[in-house]
Amino acid sequence: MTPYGSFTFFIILAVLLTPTAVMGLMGKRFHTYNMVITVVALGLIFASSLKQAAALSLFTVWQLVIIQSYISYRKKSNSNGVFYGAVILSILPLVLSKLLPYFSEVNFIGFLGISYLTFKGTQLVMETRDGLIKKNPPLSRLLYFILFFPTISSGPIDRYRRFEKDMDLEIQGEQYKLLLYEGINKIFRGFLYKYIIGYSINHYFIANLRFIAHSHLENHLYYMYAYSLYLFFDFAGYSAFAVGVSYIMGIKSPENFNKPFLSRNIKDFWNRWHMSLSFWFRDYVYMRFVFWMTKKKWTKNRNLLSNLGYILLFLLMGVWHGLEMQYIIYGIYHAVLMVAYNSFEQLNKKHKWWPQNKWTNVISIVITFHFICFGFYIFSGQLFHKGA
Amino acid sequence: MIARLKVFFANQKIKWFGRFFYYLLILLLLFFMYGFNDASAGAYIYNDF
Repeated sequence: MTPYGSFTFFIILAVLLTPTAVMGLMGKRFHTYNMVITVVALGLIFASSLKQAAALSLFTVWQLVIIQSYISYRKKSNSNGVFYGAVILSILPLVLSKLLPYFSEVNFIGFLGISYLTFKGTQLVMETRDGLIKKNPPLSRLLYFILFFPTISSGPIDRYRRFEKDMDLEIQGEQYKLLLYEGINKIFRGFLYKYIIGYSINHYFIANLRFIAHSHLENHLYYMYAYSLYLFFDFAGYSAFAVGVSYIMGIKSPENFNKPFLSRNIKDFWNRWHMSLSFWFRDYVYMRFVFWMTKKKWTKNRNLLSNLGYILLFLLMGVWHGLEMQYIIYGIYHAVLMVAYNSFEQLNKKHKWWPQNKWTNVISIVITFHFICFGFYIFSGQLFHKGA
Repeated sequence: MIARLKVFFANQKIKWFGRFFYYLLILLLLFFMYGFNDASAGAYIYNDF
């Protein structure tokens, strides 16, 4: 069963979450019950594929062993080699699951949500290295964090220390009432985005483009804008469901979107689109790369450092989506945009070519919107296929 | 005019009715689009990654 994929899923969810809501409104702790429903929900999600269920179980054990061993090791020592080894081992199943389909017809490693679970696992290793996680977390809590079902299939990617704070919080009935209200509001937004707007764009517009467009160019142009909106409403709808259900379970999972089509530039866009992923890459790829380059003193040019960091970040992000041509080009496209904008920003600070006012802000939003849509057009793969 | 509108929309009763009709509209649209069928709006794009 796909999470948030059918009305049946929501009916089951409502039944499972009713005791949570009742306990929350009474001001009682509900995390133990929520752990039980997480097991039930995971059972429902993976019941249709025992292969995926087995892969998920093995993956979880693999991550737990790496995380717990590294935390225990880090208390005594701090070798670079062990850290790099732990990170490589943590991302290894994801890399294999991405590569395996090119060599074998059976992908026995992959399962729904492997990317997002990997991001969580690797994050724990990195934060342990930084000394932010000092103690071995209780096994049940670690499992609950990694396998938290509302966000299992496509995030948002939560941070362990933030998650832990929510777990320890004593929520009063009145406070929970607000969380419940916000959660329900987000779920309704999810229905509006995914089931009404996203579905309508895809079903009534994109599917009928060949009857609507009068020329090949028109077809591609309509597809570019329609697909961009469809992708947003599809993913933002999913995220609204995931965050809404998390709220009802007393966990304030981070938001993934903040009006991305109102971005004033490409940097602003990546602070608004798929935020939990872009912040993950910013913190664990970009910042580490810049820090490492600075430490090694390979270059003193901060602008060059920053641009190299962006190139690495977006190439990795592109490849993470898949090894197909459209994802690699999508990564390169955003790397180029980011480097170009970064250079423009530096020059503009000196020369003041583009002042900040109401009008230039509106023009910036319009220009950025078109660049973003072209990026999604690349991402959709239509550029590399015949016809839309 | 804008100040009066702000006061109007800050009213708790108006907010409550606004929310009520927003939720009702979503439920009605879902009903008109899908009826009582256990319809799916298609797979999520990002589930593939």
